[in-house]
Amino acid sequence: MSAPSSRTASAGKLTEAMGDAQSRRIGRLTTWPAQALLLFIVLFPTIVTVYVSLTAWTPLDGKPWTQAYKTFWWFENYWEILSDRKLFAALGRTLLIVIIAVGFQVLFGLGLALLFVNNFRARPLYYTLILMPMMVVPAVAGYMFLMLFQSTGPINQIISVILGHSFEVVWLANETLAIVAVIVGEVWQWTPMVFLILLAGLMSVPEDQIKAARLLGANWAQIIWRISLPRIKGVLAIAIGIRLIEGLKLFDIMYIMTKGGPGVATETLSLYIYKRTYGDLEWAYVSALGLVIVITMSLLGLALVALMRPSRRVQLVHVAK
Amino acid sequence: MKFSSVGRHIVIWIAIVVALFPIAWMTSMAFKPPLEWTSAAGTVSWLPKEPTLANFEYIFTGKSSAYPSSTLMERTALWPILSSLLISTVATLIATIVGALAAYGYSRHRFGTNLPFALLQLRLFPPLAVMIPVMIMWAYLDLIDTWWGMALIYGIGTLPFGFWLMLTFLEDVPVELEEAAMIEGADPARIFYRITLPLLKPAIATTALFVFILNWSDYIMALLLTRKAWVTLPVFMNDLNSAQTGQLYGAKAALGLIAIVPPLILGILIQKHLVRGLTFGALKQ
Amino acid sequence: MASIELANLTKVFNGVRAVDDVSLQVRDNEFVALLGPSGCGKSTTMNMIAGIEQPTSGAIRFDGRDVANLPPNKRGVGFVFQNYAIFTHLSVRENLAFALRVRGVPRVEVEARVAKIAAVMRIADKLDRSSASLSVNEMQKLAIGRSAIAEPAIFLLDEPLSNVDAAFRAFMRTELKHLQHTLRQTMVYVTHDQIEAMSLADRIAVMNQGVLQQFGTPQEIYSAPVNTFVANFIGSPSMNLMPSRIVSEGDDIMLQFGAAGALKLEAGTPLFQRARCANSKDVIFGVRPEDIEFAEVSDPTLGLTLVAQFIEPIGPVTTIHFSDGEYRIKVLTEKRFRTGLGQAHRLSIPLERCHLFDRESGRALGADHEVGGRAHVNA
Repeated sequence: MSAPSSRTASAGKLTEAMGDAQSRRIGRLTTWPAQALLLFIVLFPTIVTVYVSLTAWTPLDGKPWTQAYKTFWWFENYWEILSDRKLFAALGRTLLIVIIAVGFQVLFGLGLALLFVNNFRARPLYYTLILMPMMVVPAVAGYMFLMLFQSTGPINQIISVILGHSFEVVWLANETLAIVAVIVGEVWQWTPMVFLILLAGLMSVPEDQIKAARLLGANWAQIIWRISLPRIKGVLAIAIGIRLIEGLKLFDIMYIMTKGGPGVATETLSLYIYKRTYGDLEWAYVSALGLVIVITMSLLGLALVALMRPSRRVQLVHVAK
Repeated sequence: MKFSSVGRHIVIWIAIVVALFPIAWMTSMAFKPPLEWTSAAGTVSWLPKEPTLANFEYIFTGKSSAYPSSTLMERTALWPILSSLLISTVATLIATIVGALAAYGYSRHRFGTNLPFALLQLRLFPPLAVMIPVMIMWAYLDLIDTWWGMALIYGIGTLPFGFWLMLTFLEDVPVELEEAAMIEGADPARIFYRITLPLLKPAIATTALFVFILNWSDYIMALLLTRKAWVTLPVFMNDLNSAQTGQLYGAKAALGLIAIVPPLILGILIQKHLVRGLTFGALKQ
Repeated sequence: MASIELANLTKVFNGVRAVDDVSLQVRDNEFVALLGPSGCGKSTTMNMIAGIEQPTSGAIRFDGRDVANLPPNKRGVGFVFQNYAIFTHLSVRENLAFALRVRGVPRVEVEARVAKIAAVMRIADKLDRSSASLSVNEMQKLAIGRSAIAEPAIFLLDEPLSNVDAAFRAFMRTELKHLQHTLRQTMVYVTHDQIEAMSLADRIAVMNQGVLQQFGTPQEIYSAPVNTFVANFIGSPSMNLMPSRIVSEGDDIMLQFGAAGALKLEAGTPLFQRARCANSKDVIFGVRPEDIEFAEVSDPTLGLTLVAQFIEPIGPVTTIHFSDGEYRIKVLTEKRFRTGLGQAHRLSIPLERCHLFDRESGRALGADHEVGGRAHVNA
């Protein structure tokens, strides 16, 4: 058997069997398209971003970006980021919306998952139905809720019935209610995802342990509390992590429902960037901002991977067998 | 298990009603004539009083007897639908094939150790944060508003899923089978075609469908990188306004209905593997 | 302390009768083994006693009380799973304390009892370790301790020793017996290992394909098997079962074994009686390998002659396989046996320790065996 490749700590699964040289050849062959695409999307954009972010260029000038050097003003954009109140306001709003939305997603998702753990007759059907919101095109979901929250729309009609009198609030023109509407849309669309993930986690609890707990005298509530839930801590973290990251990217539903309005009440980070890019056309500033965001998210990603180390490490080590 | 069966069913049914309500509402809207959703209507009724296919007629032919004659569309919905279809399919091919190959190279030959994390990183940041350089690049390469330009960016965007999904599926295929074939004297290409690939067919199908759903559902990138010629369905839907009557709710609803059908069907088909895809393989069902 | 009564217990899965009309009574404080091959229904029976599975029909009573409506967590039984089902996310201490904590036992008492049971099971030094870090043997002890701490009157064990190594198995056998006596429990023990059952149990219930074959003490089962299945299952190497033909020669009865020879049954012996009452002339003759001797007697009616085929020396004893083309016999002997393979030998068969079975049904012929094949031996 040939010695493991010196490039990596452990060889690929077939490397030993195939021999180092041939394995390397195949490895190179199969991974180069992906590497090429990766390089393509990383190399040039990074150079451009760094370059432009150090200038004061905007397409309004009429000059192509290559000549942006003429407006070099170094780190001005970055200083501006630090003092940009609107940015932090947008960030704050984003965090508020995302945290509240994810909170509800977890609440409802966990509750539903607990109901689905024990098998019952119509479970597969109910399962499919509950998953549907997740599979709706987000832009269309945005449109759905736009319709639902119309002043003459069904939501107001339902509330009217409950309250007993006519309720015709214009949700999307009210600062607070617009945020509520957006959160409702987010929770509707993504609770099924949290449900899906948590259910998978709950069902991976070994059945024997549940039987054993039962025979030791535990009732269902005790089983959930002492056996099931502690075991899904990792899964819960994954679900929350994913929803938080996706939440920060929030754009589709917001853009279609409110476009950031009324005023800037629902202007999230992505919408803010959008406005600076297409409204103000301050591309240099946005480039700098983009770079900062990318670096921040990458660091957060690293942190997340470190957090998910138990499951992720099993993943990667597993692959390195 | 006696788990207060009735209570459980009631709660689940409430959840199902909530889950399906917006979809149902939009469906109902899609079949309402303009009279029932333009501002002349007053409060909106739940079911169409006079169900009609006028909305569908409108979006596919550009006009309809039920619509005021002044609201003519520049183009019908047919093209954006085909555009979405073409772009999503090509992008899916790119993401799946490149991803599968790379996953194979990584899993079986430990090449490209940067790929797993690098591709994960790609999904971490908001597209908008990186759109400027992409737009500049795309403009420079003449890729704006072209189907291959869109397919390319979509393919790159969903490559992480193509890679990770195939990676976890590959791990499920025991390497012993390929090793046994090697002992028999088969060469790598043959092993791949005769052993690995057939075992991966369901995995490839699942990955492809998953990626397709994601590509089909994109809004932001199409918004930024298309102008007129290759506008995709979600973008087209949102642009469906008329100067006179504002938002064409019925038409949009009809389009929305068409837009959500493919992902819904595909999603149901790959239900079992959704967890795997969404958590990048950290969990399997 | 509790007695268990199974009355016509039946469980049907998808049309398959996993447990078929099983009735037996386990006495208070008794150690009963449910013995049988895979799929014979022993685990299902035990699951029903525990309440994990519901019978299709029939009743289960503890001390006369029907427990059908009691959920598993209220039946007061201890259960040890084959793969232990340790709560791997909890420490050893927390595992042991579980049964008490869910019952709301005060913390101080919990601590005391955990310490006591840990000492009994000899895992006290591992109390605060993660239970996932234990060795297989330690996990088994933990599994037993975890169930024992609640001092259940009935203790059910589902093949608990099948995953542990042989040395530990022997050790645990004595520990379990000791535990049972100390805690005065009624124990039901599922196993497919007949040596385990024979050495541990007060009485053994042999099952096959859902049907209870025989329920009796190890001695009864060994020396008076009720049918060919039990005869074959118990004893290692298994009993020799050979087809034979009853031939009457005047007042004598002979058992014909083709070219291997014939055996003459003495009038007045039990075997003679049974042969006389046989319904059919075709029977199955059973003799245990350890009972056969090598004879030098010249009387051709008292032995069989066959050729040695191969030899398995296993230390103190040797198993020799004899055959004459049609019949195959195994002989277990303690004597150092030197023989050439291919040589013919005369074997002496002690008729007083032999059995006759009906060829068609497999039932043992004999007055003390119930016609019907199901030995409902009630205490």
